Formats: sequence, structure tokens, C-alpha cells
Amino acid sequence: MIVFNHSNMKEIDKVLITKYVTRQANEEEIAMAKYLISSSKDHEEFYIQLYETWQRSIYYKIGFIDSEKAYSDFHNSTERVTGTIFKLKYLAIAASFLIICGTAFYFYREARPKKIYSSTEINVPKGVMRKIVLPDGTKVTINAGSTLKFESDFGKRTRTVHLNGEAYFDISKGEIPFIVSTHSYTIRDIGTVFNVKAYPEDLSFETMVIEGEVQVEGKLSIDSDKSQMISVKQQQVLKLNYSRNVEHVIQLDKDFSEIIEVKVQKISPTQVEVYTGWTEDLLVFEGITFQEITRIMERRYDVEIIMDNSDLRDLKYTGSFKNIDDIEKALKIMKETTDIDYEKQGKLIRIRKGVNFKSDSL
Amino acid sequence: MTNNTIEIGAWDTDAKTFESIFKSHYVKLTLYANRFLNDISISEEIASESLTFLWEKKGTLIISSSITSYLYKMVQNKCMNYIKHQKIENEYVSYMIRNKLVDELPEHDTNPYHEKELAEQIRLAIDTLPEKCKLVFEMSRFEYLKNREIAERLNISQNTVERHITIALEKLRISLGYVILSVITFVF
Repeated sequence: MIVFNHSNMKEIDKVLITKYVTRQANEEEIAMAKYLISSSKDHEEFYIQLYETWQRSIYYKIGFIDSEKAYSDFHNSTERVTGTIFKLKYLAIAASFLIICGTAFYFYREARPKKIYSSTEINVPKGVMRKIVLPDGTKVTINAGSTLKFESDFGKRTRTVHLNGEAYFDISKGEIPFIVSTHSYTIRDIGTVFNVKAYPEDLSFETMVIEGEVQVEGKLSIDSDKSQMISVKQQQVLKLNYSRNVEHVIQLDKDFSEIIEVKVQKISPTQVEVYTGWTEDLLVFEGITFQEITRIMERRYDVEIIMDNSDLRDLKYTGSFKNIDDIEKALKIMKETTDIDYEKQGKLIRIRKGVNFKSDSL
Repeated sequence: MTNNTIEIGAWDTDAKTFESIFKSHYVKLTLYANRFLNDISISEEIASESLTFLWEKKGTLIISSSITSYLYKMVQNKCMNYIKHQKIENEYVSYMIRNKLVDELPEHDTNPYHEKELAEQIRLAIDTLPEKCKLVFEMSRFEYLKNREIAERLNISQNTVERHITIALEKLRISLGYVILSVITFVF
């Protein structure tokens, strides 16, 4: 388990929760804070402590709750209406009416959305993941090493988010189509649950639909550069693979030139976790190459993995890791069934062939 | 004395006694309401209302426990009603309900020694904050000013205000002894 104390908590989360506790958060921030609190024990505890601290800080100037003044107010109001509980009742009704109007006005003012001119960018570093709620109520889990961006007018006329990396979307129902824009593809959707994996450094693009349907737009064929559209239905996954040298191409101009494989597959219910397991810290590898595995591991554990031999890249591995917080534990398990060896120096991991390595093993 | 011999009668008071009841309960009831509402002004209203109710009903109220617990219960009910009515969702209240803490009072509320100690700790923590940070925190806590208003008055950015308050509250949290507690093993 990663020991995660609050001093490691993201500054942005601390500020957000502080704003919520001190009642300075706007509607969107309140929704986000609530989601953080309800989806992470760590955030919940931080919030509880901060709330109590905020409450207790009143003791610094406890005199500002003035019981003398409160008593004289009480005394004056009861003096004037002595003996006539009837009148007092009216007064109380009037007073509470005023309080309700006052607070209603107060909350009305609070609830008015404030204009934000900038866009919001959520950067999730390697080694962690984050759950957020967008202003429209859509729930998003963002995987390690990813960025999600949306404009200030999100939800008004458009619902577009820009994703760099991997995220799991649970779209809130609405009139406006929800669009996920990655650097090469546009995913359109209305009211569904799906996962998008689009790390620019990966040699693949994936979108898997759990509920509903999405439309993916972009360059989708091996033999044409034109933008096309494809529908991905419930329990299907769209996968695109690129040739290895594309790695460099992406960095130069964000254009894929060499798609080597496009497929839409039906997935069985037991396979779902291959795609979405990460949202619950479950990594499932079903016969994928070490090349792909190391990328996932690098992001999950915030490490750098080097493979000494290129044969290793294409070696396939099957296995799953649930809540394994230490990469060494994962590597040890992999070592048991695969003839590999590794060496860890801080954040750098070197994987090499074991003594009996055969390129076709597993 | 057996259970049957306890006499239950209406609770009564005179003006002089009630004044001391009012004054000795007002702050505590306000703080108690504030746990649910996180709003001092409305908490003060509710404390006042509850005490006023007690005065109005003197001679007719049957109180089986103590005045103090009766008042606390009344404040609690009023707060819950207020929350329901205003549709304010407060995560802290949900947390208290989940963990059955609604009826519990913090120790410093009932023990004057702890209360003094707590007040002293808080004074120390706030007094050792950097000057600007302290000023911003006090404006936010005790002057009911919005972050925007503080930013305007001090001619600093709203982000700076937010940061100052975050730092101040974090420092207070830690000085109140939450440091060790906060180590949690949670994967993400």
C-alpha cells in the first residue's frame, strides 16, 4: 500500500476542500469537492479534520459570539410583548419569514454561477489517479499521467473535454452531446459509460463502451488518410495500433501516418476489467506485450522501465495485479512465470532476459 | 428510591435564573449548531430561538433530562430541519450521521480545562502565522468577508487569498494534533 498522508495531497485538492469548508466555493467547486470527499477516504478524512479545525478556530476570538448582546436582544423583544404570547407568535413568524427571505436571497446570490474566463485543466501525475465530477454531473476517473481539459463554458452550448491519456467516463444525461476530443480522434456520445485510452506516447488508441454507444471520428483506415466515422456499441472495443516508428512521428507533428491495425471486437463481461480495472487499481494483462505492459507500469508506479533486449518488447504476458502498491511485488510475480530478471535503482527499472530465456516463452 | 417515585413536573424558572441560563448556554449552543450549519449567523439565530422557546414555555414544559441536554437536543432538531428545508447538503453532517457522532459533544465543549487548552493552542497557532496570512485568515473567519472582498481590500489576487487561507487552516489542523492521525493507507 502506498502510504499517502495529507502532506502528499495535491495542493489543488487542499485549496478546493478549504474553499468548500470556508464556504467560498462556487457550485462547480462544491460538486467537485463533494465528489473528492465521497470517493476517497483520504480526502474525506482531510475534509473532516479541516471542517473541525475551521469550527474550532472560532476560539481565537470566541468573544465575537456575544452572549451579552444576544441576551439584551432577547430581553428587549420579550419585554415589549410581555404577556401576549399571541403577539410574540406573530413576531416569531415574521422574524422567521425574514430569516428565510434573507437566507433565500443569500443562497440565491451564492448559487449564481460566477463567470470564469479561463479553462480548467486537470493534470494527473504518474503514480496516482483521480475521480472528478464535471459541472454537468458527468463522473470522470482520470488515469495516471493524463490531462483533462475543458473550457469555462462547458455545459452551456457544448460539452467538450480534451483528453490526453486515459479516462473512464460516466456521462450524465443531457441534451447536449458529450464530446471527448483526443489529439487524433473525436468521440461523440449521449448518455453512456465508456473508457478512452489515448496516451500520445502509446502505439495504440482504444475506446471501450460499457453502456450505450459512441461514435469515433478520425483517421480509421490503413489505406486512407481521410477522416471517417465508426460506431462502437455496448460491450465493444475499438482498437487501433500503430507501427513502432510512429513514436517519433507523433512528437514531430501530431499526425499518425502508420495505422497497422483497426479492429472492433465484442467483449465478454469477464473481459470488461481488462479495460476498466484500472479505475479500481486492478491491472489485467491479457496476452499483451511487455512493450505495452511497461508503459502501463511506468504510469501506474511513476517509474522508468528500460528493456535491455528488444526481444523482450514483444514477449507476451498474461496476469493481473490487484492493489499492488509496490512495483517490485508485481515484478516478482511476473518473474515467477516469465524468464526475466530485473534490477531496481530508485525510479529506474532495468528488465533483462533470464538465463533460460526463449523468445517464444508464454 | 425506585423508578416509580421520581416526580415529573413542569419546568419553571424566574427571570434572574433564566438570564444566567441564557448567558451560560448561548455560546455553546451556537458552536453546537455551527457544527451542523457551518454558518455562525444562522447558528446564533437558532441558539437564540431555542432559548427564547424555553422562556416562553416555562411552567409548561416537561423536561425529563436536564435543561442543558434539552437545549442541545432542540438545537440539533432545529439544525436538521433547517438543513432539510434549505436543501443544504453538508458532507460533515452526513459523516456525523454515518459514524453516529450526532449526539456526541466534543470534549472541549463539556470540560472547561480542555476548552482553555484548545483556545490556547489555537491562539498560538494563529499568532505564529505569517502576518499577511494571519490577516487574511482573520478577515475570512471573523469578518464574514468573501475571498473576493478580501482580495479587493488588500489589493492582492483571489488566488493569493485562497492560498493564505489554505495555509492557515492547514497549519491550524496540524497544530491541533492531526498529523499522526492523517496517515492513511489508501491506494489512490
